[in-house]
Amino acid sequence: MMRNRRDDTTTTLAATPAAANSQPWQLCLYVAGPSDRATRALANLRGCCEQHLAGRYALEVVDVQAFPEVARREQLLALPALVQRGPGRRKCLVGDLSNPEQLLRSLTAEAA
Amino acid sequence: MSYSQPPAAPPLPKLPKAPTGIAGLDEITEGGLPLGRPTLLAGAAGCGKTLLGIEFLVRGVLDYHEPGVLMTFEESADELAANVASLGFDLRGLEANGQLALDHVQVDRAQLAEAGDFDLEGLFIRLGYAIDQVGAKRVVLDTLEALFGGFHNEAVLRSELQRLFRWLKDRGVTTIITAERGEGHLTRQGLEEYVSDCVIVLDNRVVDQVTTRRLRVVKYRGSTHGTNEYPYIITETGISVLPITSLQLDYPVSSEIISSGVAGLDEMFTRRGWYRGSSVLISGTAGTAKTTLAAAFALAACQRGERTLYFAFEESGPQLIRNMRSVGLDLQPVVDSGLLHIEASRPTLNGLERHLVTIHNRLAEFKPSAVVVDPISNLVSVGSLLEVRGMLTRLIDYLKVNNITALFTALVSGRLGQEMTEEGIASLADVWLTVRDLEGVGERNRGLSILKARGMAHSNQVREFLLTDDGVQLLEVVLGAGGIITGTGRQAQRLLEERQAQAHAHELARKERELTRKRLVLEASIANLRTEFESVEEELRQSNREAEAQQHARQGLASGPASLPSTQPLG
Repeated sequence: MMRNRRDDTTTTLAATPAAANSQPWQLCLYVAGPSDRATRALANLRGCCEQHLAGRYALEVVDVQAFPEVARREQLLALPALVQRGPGRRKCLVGDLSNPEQLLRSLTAEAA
Repeated sequence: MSYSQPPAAPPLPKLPKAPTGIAGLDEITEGGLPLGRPTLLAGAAGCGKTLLGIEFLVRGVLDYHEPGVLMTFEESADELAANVASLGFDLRGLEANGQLALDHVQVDRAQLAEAGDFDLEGLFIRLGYAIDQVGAKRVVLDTLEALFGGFHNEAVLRSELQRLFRWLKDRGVTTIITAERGEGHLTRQGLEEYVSDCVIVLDNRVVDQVTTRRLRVVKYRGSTHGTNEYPYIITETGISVLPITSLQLDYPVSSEIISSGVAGLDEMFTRRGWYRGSSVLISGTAGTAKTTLAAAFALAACQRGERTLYFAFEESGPQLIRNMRSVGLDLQPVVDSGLLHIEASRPTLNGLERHLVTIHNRLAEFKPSAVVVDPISNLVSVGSLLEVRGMLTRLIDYLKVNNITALFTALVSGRLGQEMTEEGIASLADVWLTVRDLEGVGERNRGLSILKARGMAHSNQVREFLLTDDGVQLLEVVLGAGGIITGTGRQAQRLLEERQAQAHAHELARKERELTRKRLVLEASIANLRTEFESVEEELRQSNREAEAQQHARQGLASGPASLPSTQPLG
């Protein structure tokens, strides 16, 4: 399910991979290995995105355990962490994203 | 509070320790921090927690070849590197050599929101990555508590911290976790609950406008440690904790005797000097030649080829050399040859700790056989009596352990000063000399006496001494009617004795003459008597002769020839 990356090139799980970089919602979910919490977070995120942002988002999932230097660069502490680079300023939401309303509010706060 | 004390049974495996390389700290902790375990370093702002942590890492790399990881939560790595560069710690250089990994963790609540269940795996991964990057044996987390500012969910945070400390132990890295001092607790966030192996508290106190930093090992599981508060300072080369001392009185001692540098003084000890490695105190009021005695000792030590360190708290080096030359003690050659090092500074320039740290550092650098501190009493001006006493105790301990002969001078002025020496270090001094003014009518003379000399008998006399062109000269004891006589009294006594001797000689001569006279009288009398006797004898003979003549005449008339003896009686 999850895919790793070697560098900054984006691997997307978006509906339209070809247009990943041009999507308004640039999302990246950082997880630590295949854990229940990670799976839950991803499921919650995808559910929300498909429901509200279908076709307008690019999602990348990174296993930080495999690429620890990313954790340093991205200043990650708590995992899972959803980093949203757009729209608006960079922000970070940590946890398993189990509250859909909060997730949606966070995703759409700047875009409204 | 439970202090771990070792059981009495001797052959126990010692807790493995990681030496910090920080001067003094390893002595207090008896070897360093618990190896492979976390140590909590708590302290208020400005105590030098971060610095101590960084020094632990840098010394680890440089002195023990143990790479380290520095994870900072407050200052950025660049800021830290710049801050400690002035202490000669080149963090960037070590990082470039692959001996040190730096990671600055930014905790920014503004960028961070919590949505559901999370853990701090990211921190673990970063730390693990940094450790693997350099093969770290040492880790410093500075200041972990900053995490509490980043997350709302304290329960998660606490369980994660607990996990972190266990994880660090499992990784076997020796870790220092710094934390802010809290009200009523050792740390603001109660981190001491999680770190049970070793807790060190730093403290920053201002007493009488003098700041003193102190360090205390609150807890050290599985090991003994010094339990006192130890002052420490931040020097040009990092943190220095005092004391650098032995906590036991079990050092080896020397039986070798060395000279005091004053021949006459040596004679006052039955063994002609004092033991090597002993501590000598010379106390006295102003102008009693304490410095001269100290310089004589230093010069003698140098002339034996021993390295000597002279701490002058009153005079500059050149001034001391000039002044001592005037009494025939030429220190310049031994200074030039490098045997004597004069370290001059004003006591008020620094706090007490800094002075003692300076002394310790110089001792470590110079490795002298003899040390002079002239005078220790000046140190009182920068510290309380109690502090000075504590410091000197430690200094003397250190000197003794290293078999360094130490000579201290102490200025005594009135009652207070006397107490200082008595309570201060007199009990620590092995030999205590006092020099004093022997003030008489219109003059002062210098007297020297031995108050104590451990391990040997000594003279109990107060000896007068002079500062001559050839150094210190002890004068022979002159005993007068009222005790020992000095100065002009000494001259007077000598004149008196001369007069007495003259009078005695006169008397003798007079008696001689008297005798001669008597003999003459006697002889005259004898002659008189003899003359008298002779005249009586003469008279008697005369009478006899006359009587005989008469008898002859009578016999010639009666019987003719005189054939009969004259004595024949007439039948």
